[in-house]
Amino acid sequence: MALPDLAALEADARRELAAASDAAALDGWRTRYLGRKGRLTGVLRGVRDLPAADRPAIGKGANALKGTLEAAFDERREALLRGASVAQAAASVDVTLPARSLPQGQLHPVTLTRRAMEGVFREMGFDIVEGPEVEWDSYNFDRLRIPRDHPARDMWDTIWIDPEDAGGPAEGAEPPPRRLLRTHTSPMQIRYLETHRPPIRVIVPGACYRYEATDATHEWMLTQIEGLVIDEGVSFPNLKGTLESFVHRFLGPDLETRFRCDYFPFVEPGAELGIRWGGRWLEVLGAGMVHPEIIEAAGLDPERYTGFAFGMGVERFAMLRYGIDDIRYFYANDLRFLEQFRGSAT
Amino acid sequence: MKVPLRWLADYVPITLSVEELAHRLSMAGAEVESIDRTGDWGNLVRVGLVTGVEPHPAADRLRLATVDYGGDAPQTVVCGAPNVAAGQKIAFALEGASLHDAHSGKTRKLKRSKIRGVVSAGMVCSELELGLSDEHEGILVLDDAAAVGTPLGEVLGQTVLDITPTPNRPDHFSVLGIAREVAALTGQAVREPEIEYPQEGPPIAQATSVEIADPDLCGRYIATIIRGIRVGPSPEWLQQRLAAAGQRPINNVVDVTNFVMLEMGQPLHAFDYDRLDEGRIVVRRPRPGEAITLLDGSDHQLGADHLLIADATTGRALAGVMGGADSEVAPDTTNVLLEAASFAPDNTRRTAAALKQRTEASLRFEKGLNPELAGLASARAMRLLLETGGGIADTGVADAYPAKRPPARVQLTSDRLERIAGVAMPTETVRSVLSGLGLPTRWKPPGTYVVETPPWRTDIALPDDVVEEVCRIYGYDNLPSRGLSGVLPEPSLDRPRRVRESIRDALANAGCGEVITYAATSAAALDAVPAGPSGAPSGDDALPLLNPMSSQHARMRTSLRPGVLASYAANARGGARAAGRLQIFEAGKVFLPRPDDLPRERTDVVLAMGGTPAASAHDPEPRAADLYDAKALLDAVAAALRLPFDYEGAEPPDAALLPGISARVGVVQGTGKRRRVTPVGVVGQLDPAVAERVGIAGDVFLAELDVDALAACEPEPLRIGTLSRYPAVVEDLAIVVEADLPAARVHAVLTGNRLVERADLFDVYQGPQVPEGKKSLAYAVTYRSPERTLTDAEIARVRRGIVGQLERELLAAIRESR
Repeated sequence: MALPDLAALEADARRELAAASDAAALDGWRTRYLGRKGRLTGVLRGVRDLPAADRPAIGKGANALKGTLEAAFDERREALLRGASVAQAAASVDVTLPARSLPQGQLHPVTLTRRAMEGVFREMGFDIVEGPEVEWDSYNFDRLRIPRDHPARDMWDTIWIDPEDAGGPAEGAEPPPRRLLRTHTSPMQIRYLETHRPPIRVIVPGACYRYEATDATHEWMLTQIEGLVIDEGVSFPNLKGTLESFVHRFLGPDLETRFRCDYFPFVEPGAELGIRWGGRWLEVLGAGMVHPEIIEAAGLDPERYTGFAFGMGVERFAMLRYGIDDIRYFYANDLRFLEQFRGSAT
Repeated sequence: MKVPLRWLADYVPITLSVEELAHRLSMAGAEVESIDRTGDWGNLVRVGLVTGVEPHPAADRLRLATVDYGGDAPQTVVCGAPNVAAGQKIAFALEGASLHDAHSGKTRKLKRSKIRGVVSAGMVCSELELGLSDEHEGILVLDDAAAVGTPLGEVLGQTVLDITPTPNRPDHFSVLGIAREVAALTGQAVREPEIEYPQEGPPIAQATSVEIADPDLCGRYIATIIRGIRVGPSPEWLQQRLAAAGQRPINNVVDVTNFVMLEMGQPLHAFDYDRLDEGRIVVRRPRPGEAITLLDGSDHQLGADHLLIADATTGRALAGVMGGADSEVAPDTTNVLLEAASFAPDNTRRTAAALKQRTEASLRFEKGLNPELAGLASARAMRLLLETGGGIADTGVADAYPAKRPPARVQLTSDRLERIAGVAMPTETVRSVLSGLGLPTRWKPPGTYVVETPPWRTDIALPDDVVEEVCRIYGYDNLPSRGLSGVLPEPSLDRPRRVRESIRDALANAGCGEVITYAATSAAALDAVPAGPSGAPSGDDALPLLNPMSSQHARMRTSLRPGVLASYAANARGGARAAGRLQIFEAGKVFLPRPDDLPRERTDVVLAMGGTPAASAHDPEPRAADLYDAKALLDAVAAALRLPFDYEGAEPPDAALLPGISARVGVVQGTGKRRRVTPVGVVGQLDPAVAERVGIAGDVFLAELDVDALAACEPEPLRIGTLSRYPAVVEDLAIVVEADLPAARVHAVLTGNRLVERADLFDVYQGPQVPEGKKSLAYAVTYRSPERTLTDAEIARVRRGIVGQLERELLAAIRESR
């Protein structure tokens, strides 16, 4: 009995496979070679009838060929599938046509910036609370050591709700409380201290209002972030370290910073943080050590507890971060401006 | 406060460049807004010496002046000024210098010219040509000390620091106050001005007395008297000092009071003594109906606390604000009574504001002046008055001083200093900083600084005030930086805030743009868009502002609707967005008034959407937005909050929305008997009449959510059950019901059975194949059991149960099933 010629079988199989150009031809090929009555199957079945000496070689060769042909079949089948799709697509697909549109939205830049600023402080362990935008003058001013008729009130041009001395106060009596639109987020220092004890480490984001004519750098509605830290052993270097860390994380690690003396009635010493921006020094936030009278008024021992407070404008930081040159864009709500913030998660 | 550098140098040597000086002052708290330089004529205008004057050969009124200006050779120029004379130091302009031209009023370059036959290449300048004043009659004659050849700017130019003092530092409204800063910053001592003066007249008590009737408003009043003073122009040095600081010289008496105010920060006032009835001073509140005419000619009816400086009968000055017109020092005045006083800061501020008379004096008094300063300033002014106007001073002062206190002392421990500054400061450093500032300091072992408050400071009352003095002069930038350490506080659980932020994200991710509009609006804008049931009934109920930015922003909004719709209208109109889908939202506060209390501040979200997307290659005929698109956005919110929303026809209808195309949005909680729906908002089509009012053409849909109400709904905790391993069976069920029956009722019955996994509505049909007034709802119903494979018989049983319930409860009929 002649030994099967595996080489010839492989050559036939490959030639016929290459010629198969549709699913039916492929099926026929598989039946002819790999099917139950196929040529290769026949060879494998006949191995046991071969002389013992030839069995291992032929058996091993036939099994290897089976694997080879199966792989060749799969490859050919996939090529035909792909070819059919490509042929079909070539007629109708233009990869340069615009995509179908998904609805696209975006957050307001003040929201984006506020959240990014909050994120930095959250990383530093700060709690976040908010407070009322319509306030009593006692919280906005008096209890922050800015009494009535104090020239420091000139620092905050105020939009009032109640008129002065409505009803006329009795001689020597406390003037009646007045409502106003808060001019800063600092009243929340007082409110937070009414309900919290040290360790205190909190920021207060929120809208504030100033009686101020608008121009490219002034808006009468603005968003502030207030900060308050009170604990044992808090010192001016902690104020510096915390705020430097904030601007470095928010605007860039190589930013040059400086602190100069400034005055806010509710802090002592008072400070202002400047950054070197575009070759100039820009003052970007006010700060200071919490005034001991404010700590004492909160029922805390100023000899034991010290702290610092700070306040900064969200719009100002957004303008720096995004290179916005006119603050009035924020509340004009022109979508040509707003839509540029698509995808600006931070 | 304008601080001329030359004046500053009278008290402290300037050892830094002006830029460095300005920087150091700013860093220490006296912010230098600008450095103003006047009188920089460059190198072409120099100090010259007139060596000779000869007549012009061809003109009577012209002369030839020979000038040594430090050049190679003296130069001869034509000069028309009558006052030119040999030996004068003058301002000499060389060819090419930029000078002010009297005829054209413009600046022009000096050219060589021939005047009546004589070539002239240069000019002896008048004040006008130098831009110093309008004076053109004669040439400017300089001080003899000026060195020939020096650029004129170095002799006459002024460098002025424009400083913005903080409200706690009235001393920074004085040149001397700034000098003390400079001294401390550069480790020098201030040269105090001379304040001794001869008192050769009779005892002052024979001439005047001072009575303070209202010591709550006046803590000290010093009167001094000079007899026989000559009122006239001030000497040149005084005029120049005032002019450089931005004050117009008037006469020597007024100029001296202004000079001392600018020098020391203490406002003064000079009365014509002979016009004071009985020659005495009474400081008192006005009588009812009393009025005064001030120096500037303005008349004022006075209120109860508008403090007067009166004589025996009449108010002569408004305390701390301005003198009266009829006791003013005039050219014929010979006897002067000088006031140096201390007035209550708050009352001065109120008075000046009420009478709209904020003056240089009130500006200083309102910040609080130490009454001790009045004594120094009184003596200083007397000395200068005698110097500039002659006369004889009465002996002594009439000094009413009800507020007299021993000098305030503050004790600062080195421990406190270290706890605030964060570093141990050497005692020597601290003492040198404080003494540089003029704060007398004593070291009390083992660890206390005793600091005395000097007459010009009122802001040093507590140990930490001294800490600031030390730190700011030491330099904040020289202190170390440290991170925070210690225990972290408990975070606040602010659920409304979290819900608000989740809604923002959900809507932005679903394709909406966030807007933020002003929180103040107008009653008219609020009335144009009716609020929902939870808003204020009308714009007139919204909280009004006393001094709004404009009538457009006169009330605190009670609804976000007008602002969001105005943004929608503006963007829909704006060119690029004219076509296309527009979806915007705002998450913000509304302010619901409460009598005599702060308003309730509620956080709302309002969404406005509408329009048709622009046609595209893939969608040539896009569909206009409808209510279901708006609901899809709310579903995105519901999914983000994990709160199932329920929609029901709005009852009562929302006045801004179309009835029938609007729904109340509720959150469903609990099941079966415990099922309850919490109202959280509305959604619907904006009434076209409202849309027209706010300038929107076309259909627009509006949704409003109450964030506080949403935050009050807690989602069910997420529990992940076992997934059924058994196959699902899906079959379609078409249910014919009354056309106006809400589909949600059918859905509730279908999904009420525990073997129904879900039911998806895939068709709503009304037409010939169903009876009139009916509709067919076709659902794909998915049956599945968690425990076993359902048999056909079981499914049929479930279906029979459902159909029976639909027929009983909803009068439904089954159209077909397969």
